[in-house]
Amino acid sequence: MQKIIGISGGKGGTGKTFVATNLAIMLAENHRVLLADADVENPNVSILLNEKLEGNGQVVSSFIPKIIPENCIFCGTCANACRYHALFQMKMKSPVLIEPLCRSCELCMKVCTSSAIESEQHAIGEIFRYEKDSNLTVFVGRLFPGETKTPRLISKMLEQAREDTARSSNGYDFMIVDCAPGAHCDVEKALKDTDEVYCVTEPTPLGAHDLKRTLELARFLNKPAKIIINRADMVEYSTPIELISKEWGADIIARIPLSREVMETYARGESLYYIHKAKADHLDHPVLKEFSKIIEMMES
Amino acid sequence: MMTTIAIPSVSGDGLDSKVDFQFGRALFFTFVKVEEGKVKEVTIAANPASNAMGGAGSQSVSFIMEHGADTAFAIQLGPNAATALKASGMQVLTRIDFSSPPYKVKQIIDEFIDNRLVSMQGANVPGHAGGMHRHRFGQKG
Repeated sequence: MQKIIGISGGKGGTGKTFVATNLAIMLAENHRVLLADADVENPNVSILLNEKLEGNGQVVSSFIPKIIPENCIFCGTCANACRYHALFQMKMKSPVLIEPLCRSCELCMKVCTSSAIESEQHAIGEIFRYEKDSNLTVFVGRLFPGETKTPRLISKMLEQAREDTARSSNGYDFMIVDCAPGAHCDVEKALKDTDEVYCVTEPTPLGAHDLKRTLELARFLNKPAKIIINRADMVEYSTPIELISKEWGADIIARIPLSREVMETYARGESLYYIHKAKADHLDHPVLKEFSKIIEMMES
Repeated sequence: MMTTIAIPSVSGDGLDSKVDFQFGRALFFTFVKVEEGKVKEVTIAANPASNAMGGAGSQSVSFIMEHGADTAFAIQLGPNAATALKASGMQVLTRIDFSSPPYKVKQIIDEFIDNRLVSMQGANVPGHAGGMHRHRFGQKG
């Protein structure tokens, strides 16, 4: 594998999924690519690829304790051991699980001396895998609404994606990881095993603010970062972004122009590249040209 | 018959404290022992869970139980605290309406003695997933 790239940027709606998806499709013309949708609370990659995610998802579960009241001696050891206060125990009663607080560490089951705790599985979401064209494999994580274990599902999904790369006879050249907005623990989890982070931002104070937070996260994770400015010419705000680029040592690798066509194709749930790729001069397209620049840089 | 009611409070001023809108992350709890319609004793304790990263609801309920509470009062109650309170078997009370806040602990105790408080059915606000800091909702400490 040549490189694993995380697509982040912090601000919602800057174009992470747009960039990740079209980049993956364009790379797949000449390379084996794995695209992972790690925005598991709202995975949108498949919409731009025109793929439905129904019925063939693999359910992911994590451990929760199942209390066997008949064996419980009300000692309270499990409740005291739980660092997350997920077990609530009254005197002379068996403990009650507060499920959203459980972190699946299994410590309660380990410390119970009366076999009153067994393992139970709580379903948190699904993982999908499909192939698109000949060179692109897609992994998607999708959390069940209301569930709290986002990073766990991301971990499981990326683990399966990595196993896939180990198993595949051809291997993959590039892996692209589309992250959720923000700089929270789910983004951290998604970026943890990447080689580099591309931060997609917009030329506004909001974009700049969130970009800095992403750069801080990338630095914390010790990942080199680069900047992609999307809708770059929508207003004149390049100076603040360039200052941030200098301050953080993150090169600006593309300035994607504002494009009505991009907005329309995106709103229709279509990939811009797919629409243009048959044309001979498609790489002269002002937006696709920027993607070519990124790819050239990635290939060198 | 003696009852000990735990009231989430924003300060340690006993009956003069204002009631905290939050339960799990209440800054203090005021414990009031009531017998035959009269206040017998008032104890105040800072809530160790007020700044908890997570599990504040669960911790607070354990905390008030340790202080001998058999009844709890809440304005807003999150899902984890609600689960723990239900498991505790404690009576959970609230007001019928929340017009004209803030409320003093003394006012709630008077209403309790007059049987004007009602039973709380369960959580009435979502949790702070991941353990966020206190909300203020416009109330001044």
